[in-house]
Amino acid sequence: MKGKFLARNWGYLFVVVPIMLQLIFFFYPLLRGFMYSLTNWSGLTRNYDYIGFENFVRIFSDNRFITSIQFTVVFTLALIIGEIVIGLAVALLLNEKIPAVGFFRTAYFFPAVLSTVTVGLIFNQLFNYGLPQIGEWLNIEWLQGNLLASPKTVVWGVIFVALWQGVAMPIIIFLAGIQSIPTDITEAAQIDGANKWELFFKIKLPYLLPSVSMVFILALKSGLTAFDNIYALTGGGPQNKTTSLGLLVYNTAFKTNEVGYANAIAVVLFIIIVVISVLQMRISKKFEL
Amino acid sequence: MKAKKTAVFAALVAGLLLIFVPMYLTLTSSFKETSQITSDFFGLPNPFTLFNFERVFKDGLSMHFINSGIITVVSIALIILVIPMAGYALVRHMQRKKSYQMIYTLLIIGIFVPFQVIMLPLTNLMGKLNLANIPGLIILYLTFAIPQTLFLYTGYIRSVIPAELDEAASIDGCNPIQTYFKIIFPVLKPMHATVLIINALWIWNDFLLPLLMLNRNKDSWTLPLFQYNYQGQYFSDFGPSFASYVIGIVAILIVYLIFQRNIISGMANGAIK
Repeated sequence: MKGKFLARNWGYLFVVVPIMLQLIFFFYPLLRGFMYSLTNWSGLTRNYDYIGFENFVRIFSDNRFITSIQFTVVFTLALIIGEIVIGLAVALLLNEKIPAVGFFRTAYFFPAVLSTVTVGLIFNQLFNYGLPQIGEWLNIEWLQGNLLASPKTVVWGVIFVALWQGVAMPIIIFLAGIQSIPTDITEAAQIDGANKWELFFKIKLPYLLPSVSMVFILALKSGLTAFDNIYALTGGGPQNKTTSLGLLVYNTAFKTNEVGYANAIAVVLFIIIVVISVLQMRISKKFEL
Repeated sequence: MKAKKTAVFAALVAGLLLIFVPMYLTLTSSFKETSQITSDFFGLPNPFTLFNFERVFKDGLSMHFINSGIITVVSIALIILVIPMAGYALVRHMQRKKSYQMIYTLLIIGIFVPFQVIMLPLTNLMGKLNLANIPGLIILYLTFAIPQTLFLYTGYIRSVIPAELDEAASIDGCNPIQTYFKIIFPVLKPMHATVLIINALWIWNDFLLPLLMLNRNKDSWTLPLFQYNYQGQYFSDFGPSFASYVIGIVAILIVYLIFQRNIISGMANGAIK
């Protein structure tokens, strides 16, 4: 009897633990998150009131949110473009038959395994003590202060650090994509007289489109939800100029104690990601081979 | 042709400098006195001192290193125990039963949800359950590993492991549990390696979850959390901070150099599939 029960129901037995975990620690908080976004809860008290969509109305006239979305859009676009262009360029170089190519690959992939917080903390110090010294040597005035302390330059500093680490993973993805292009096709095109630009844009790039859309999605998500490295690098300052949406949710909840409002911002972030992902999948399906 | 190769080589060397210079500065700063870091950031340590390392170990670095290690190892063990089992059961039932299709969708939908949406209610819930500690953190890593890891396993099982294997085992008298542990689990070895790598890197390096769950209890801090709080604490005397970065970087560098082939292919598999 016991054997029969097992034979019939083993499938449910095997999935019961993940389901329980997802229900308790993912779906329940997800539901609560949507509910909190309709309240004025501070996170400190027991009581709160449902205030309908007031938080969502407030978002669009909130200067912190507007500054944050401006930064997040610039930051995310820079990540997407930078990761695709630099990642693809480096991957093409690493695919050439040159001496010590194994060493180069090992070294270029390394930043991907480092902790993003550590990288943020290290560059915080480099911007603080390293660059000003170079500025003094070269007698360049704008380099002599801390670029991260100036609202004008801080965004580029943050983008630089994010790309410093962020391109390593796209390089891996693109190199794997390049190596999966069948060589007989590229050789045939060369025999037919294709020059190297035609070879790249007409033969190789179509094969690489799935890798491009993968890198796009990864860069999009990491840009829109960026937290660790920016938190360590600038803490979102100066003047909130580098407060990403991900960081804004955290600060709104824990620094100014507006959990209800913070959840409303998170819900808006969620909607943005879903809409762009769906659009992107539709578009890339059209172009894929 | 030769000129082209030289140009490629030169471009790669230039790019390499961008990676190495920050690493060089971190390493040399860790052997400098704090006063020399501010006055002479680029020079070699003069005098050469191990004070920063002594200090950071005295402040408890090894404890936080061990915390990170325990959290990573236990989480990975649970991930590999729990998730491939579910993947196997789902693949074998999904085509015939709608309920399993629904379960699969439910388990995998988290891929699209940004963590910030559940961050605050989750922090609240973990506090109420008395799980804002290391065991609670491990449970969360297992939970949040499910969507992507399950996706990897189901893809692999569907394309590589035929159902005939189960039938052969059941004819030989295995019940489903025995079939899974004796036959299927060992065959999944290549996927176990990929899953181990991508999850271990993520968990070892993660910052936000430890910040939310462990920040109040100093003894349970992970290495990244320790590094972050340490820099804030020793704002004017930051030599030891550099020593803490060097320890973290050297640890992961050793692992990377030993397993680099597996790590690179594992990360590529995890991202592309």
